[in-house]
Amino acid sequence: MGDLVLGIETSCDDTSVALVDTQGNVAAIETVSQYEIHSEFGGVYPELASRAHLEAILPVIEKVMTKAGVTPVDLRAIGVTRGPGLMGSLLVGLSTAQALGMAWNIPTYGVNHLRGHIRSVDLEEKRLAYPALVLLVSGGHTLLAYLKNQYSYELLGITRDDSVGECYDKVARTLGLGMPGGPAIDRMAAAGTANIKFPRPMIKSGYEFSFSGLKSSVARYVETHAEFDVKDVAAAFVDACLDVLSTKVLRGINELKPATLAVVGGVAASPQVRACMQNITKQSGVTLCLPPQKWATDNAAMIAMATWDYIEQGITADLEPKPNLKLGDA
Amino acid sequence: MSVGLAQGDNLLFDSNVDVDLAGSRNVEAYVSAAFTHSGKMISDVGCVFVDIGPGGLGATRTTAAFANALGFAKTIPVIGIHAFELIGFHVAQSTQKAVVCIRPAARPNYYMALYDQGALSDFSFVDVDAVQSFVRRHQHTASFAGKFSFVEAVGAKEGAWPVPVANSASMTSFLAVALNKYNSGACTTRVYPISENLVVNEL
Ligand SMILES: [Zn+2]
Repeated sequence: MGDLVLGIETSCDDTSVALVDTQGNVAAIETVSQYEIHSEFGGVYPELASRAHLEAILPVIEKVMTKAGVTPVDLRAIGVTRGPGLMGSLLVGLSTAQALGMAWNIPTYGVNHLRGHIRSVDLEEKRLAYPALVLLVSGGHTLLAYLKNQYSYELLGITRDDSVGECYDKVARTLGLGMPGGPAIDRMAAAGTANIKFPRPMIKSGYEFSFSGLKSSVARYVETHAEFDVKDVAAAFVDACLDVLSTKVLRGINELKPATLAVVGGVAASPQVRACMQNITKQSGVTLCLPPQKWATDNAAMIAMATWDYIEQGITADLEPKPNLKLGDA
Repeated sequence: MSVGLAQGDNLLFDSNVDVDLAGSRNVEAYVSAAFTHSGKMISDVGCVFVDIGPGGLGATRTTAAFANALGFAKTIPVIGIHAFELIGFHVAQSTQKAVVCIRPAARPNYYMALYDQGALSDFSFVDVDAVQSFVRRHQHTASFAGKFSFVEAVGAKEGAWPVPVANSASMTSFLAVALNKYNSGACTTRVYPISENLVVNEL
């Protein structure tokens, strides 16, 4: 039996394939982005996403295996994202993985994408000390989780509406900053002054998030102020986001006393988010863990990494696509 | 969804009659059942044929992904069959005529084509008016397969519309079309479902 897991990630708009061993070492990874296909629609267009996955997936698998000099006998299992994500995209990954598993006679596991994000912290290097608090902030998700150990996940809270990344993108559009919205907002915000008081939804208690109200207030402000300064609006918007995120994270640190705080997801690339989290952890004596950005965004290495948990824990290989899978689900 | 396994022109397994997977969308369950029932193994498979639609995008994508991966893993050909080629062949067998094939696409449009003696022509993605004039043009020489409801008012003025034949092909028809393709030298390694964007691009 081989000692590598072939991970396949097709939950949204990237086709990613990786080979990862039980320690989290990445033998090879390839990710094909569909950014150009979707940029003209101003968002991910599900039909095109699934078609693009279908075209990319086998060449990407072949490339990864060739790059690592790996044949099917070197594989212990295949791990493939089964949710959350876009139905059409998930189906392409799942069907491909199932057929490969059948043809090569190796087990295939349907993996929770969110568990992948959380396990991404330990790719290539053990970084997470338990208990840990993990903040996942991206275009697809916003959640805070508490991990007693590697196998015990507790969801503290998710967003009730938009994710942070979605909110950044929508505000960027409102401000006429184009896509991708996150970096554009960050650049503007860095040059502006946060002198407008935008709301901080749900900041007072609990771990749940909500960002659609904030997004609407920015839109309303822009509509009603003909002479607004884009830099100041961006700065005030980022200030409100960070205030909410840091308040929730600090609440978690104070109540749960974690050893580490890990921040993952595309939004973790934001210099403002990084600085803010550095600030909080320095004050509270918690170790901050910011894994390399290549592991923080959607990738197949994290899916392969999470697959090892399924294997080691004997979790059943459920291959049914689940677009709304929750963190607690396998 | 249905799956068949054949050796030459001998159909060894037909999920429509051999198993009840109760509307399952899991391709693997069908393929596993094919091997279990026929006593064959994956290593016995020399070629995979797939219906590439037009049809439900979810289903055609799932089966195309599965078939492509099987072909890749076992280094065997994967050959796509146009759904209208199947329906056309199937219906023409009983009517002995050319067949106008129509399937609803994203509203308010339709896919349509003419199947005549083994060949498809005029495959397109069109609106209701185009379908109606196409049917009128071929109504005396062709039979008509598919799902389409004509506007009564137009029908009354110009005479009765032809009656559609049920639009699903049997596994036997599928096998016949597949063997024709195989014998004519078709050999590909990947298939992709027919989708509206592509039809529009081709027009
Ligand atoms: Zn993600």
